[in-house]
Amino acid sequence: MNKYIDVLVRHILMDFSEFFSHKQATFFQFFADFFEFFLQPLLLYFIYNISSGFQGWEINEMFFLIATARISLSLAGSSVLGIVFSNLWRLKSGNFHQVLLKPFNTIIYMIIGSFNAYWIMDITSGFLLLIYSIIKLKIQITLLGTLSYFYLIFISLLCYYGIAGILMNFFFKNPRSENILDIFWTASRFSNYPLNIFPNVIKFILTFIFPIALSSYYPASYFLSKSADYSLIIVFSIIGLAFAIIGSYAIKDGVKNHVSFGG
Amino acid sequence: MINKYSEFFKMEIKEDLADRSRFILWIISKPISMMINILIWTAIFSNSNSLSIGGFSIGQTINYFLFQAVFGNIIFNNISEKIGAKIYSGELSTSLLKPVNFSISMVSKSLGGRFFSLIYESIPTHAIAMLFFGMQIYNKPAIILSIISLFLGLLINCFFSLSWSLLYFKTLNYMPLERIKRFVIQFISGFYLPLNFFPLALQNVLKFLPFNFLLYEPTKIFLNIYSFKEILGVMLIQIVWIIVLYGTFNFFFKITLKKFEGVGA
Repeated sequence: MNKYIDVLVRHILMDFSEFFSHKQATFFQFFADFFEFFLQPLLLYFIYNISSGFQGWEINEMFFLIATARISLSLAGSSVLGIVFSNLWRLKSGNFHQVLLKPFNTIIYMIIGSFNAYWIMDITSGFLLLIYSIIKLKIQITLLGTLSYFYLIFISLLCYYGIAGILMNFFFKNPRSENILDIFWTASRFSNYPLNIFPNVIKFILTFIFPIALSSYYPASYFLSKSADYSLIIVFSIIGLAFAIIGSYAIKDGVKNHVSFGG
Repeated sequence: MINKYSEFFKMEIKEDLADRSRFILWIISKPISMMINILIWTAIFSNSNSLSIGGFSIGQTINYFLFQAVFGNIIFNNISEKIGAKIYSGELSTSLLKPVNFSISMVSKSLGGRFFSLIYESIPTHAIAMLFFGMQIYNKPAIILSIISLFLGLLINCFFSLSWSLLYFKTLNYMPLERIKRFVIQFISGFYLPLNFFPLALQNVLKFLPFNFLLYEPTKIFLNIYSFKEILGVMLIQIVWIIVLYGTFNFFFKITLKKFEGVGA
């Protein structure tokens, strides 16, 4: 266990060192991240300015929802989902065997090596918007709601891990088809909107098949006391576990069939 | 002269044709994007007491976003990103030595790429949008005029991107600035939201900038909001912006090149 912690710490230090080595670039990167993130609340503000917005969701609740979506996605991006981003180039260039040669468990090493300091800015901006919306909403924070919120974000990480595994399995076989990530990014837009505005088929897909709603809508609903059905959390835990198993199996299967030719 | 640059045009089409998977994935991802926008705006309109928002009916709003999804990609180009990469690697010096006008060659390549995009991406997605999402064509000449206006928008964007790329001579690490440019352009060209949904003060400021002529005005032509005379007026302003931005780029490019060391990062 110690050796993994050691590798993780070294990797984080190296990543931060690289990140801050070009101060000008880092400044622009920060600015770009902030700009990108706050664009969406701004658009929502414009929409709520001229309409009643989404049924049952006032503007600050929407801010809370998109902040949650951002936090989940950026946490996943710097860990489980990062597996895809950090290993795709290795697969393309035919260098993935370097990961296999390390004296570590391949999957754990892939997760550790996927930490990326660039996501820190996204996590920070997500939390800033979250705090802003909580202050504006003047809600009473309950222990059960808060615990459910963070537990569901953890479950969403398991789901993202499953998605990352499926994507990696595809990339092991088709290392040049990185454009498929566009489909993932497009579909992940669903997480920025409340599930109640979608038809039942879409609700089902976003909860069980592509469970992006677990990363935003459900945690936000529990925190904002919009949902009191805590028994659903057991169902969500099963979904998360199923995705984690699928993800591990998909990566193992991909590694087994990996031929290291590059793309 | 034209022959020389038409080779750049063809070259980009051949490069794009080499990556056919992009075309297939486009056909898959675009309908998802269209569906999200339709569901969102249907929800917003059904929660609203008014039949119109920002002067647009639900039909116009949905058609606005469908048009953006189908044809919006025409105006976007990666000229500044390509120049940034050339500056970063030190390759720009070689490009400048070639016996062609650098900016025109970049624009020719971009036009080739966007022409490919129109044929291989927009036309199939248009069929999907009409069959499955009920995209309406209000007026047949309007769609042709709106596509012509989009290509003028593309030229505005090309010359703006060329001018923006001059910043990369100073920063070298171009990606963050490239991202900022992309978001700003998408935001104020009406890609995310029609500009008439913006606060009035911001709309008044945007009138004096070229960005609403990239996507917003061509989409309004498609929605049959303008008369033929007004459409000609829009196109005339687009041509004026192309000339202004081309002149601005040439002026600053000469100054920038005098200080350019060409060693890369």
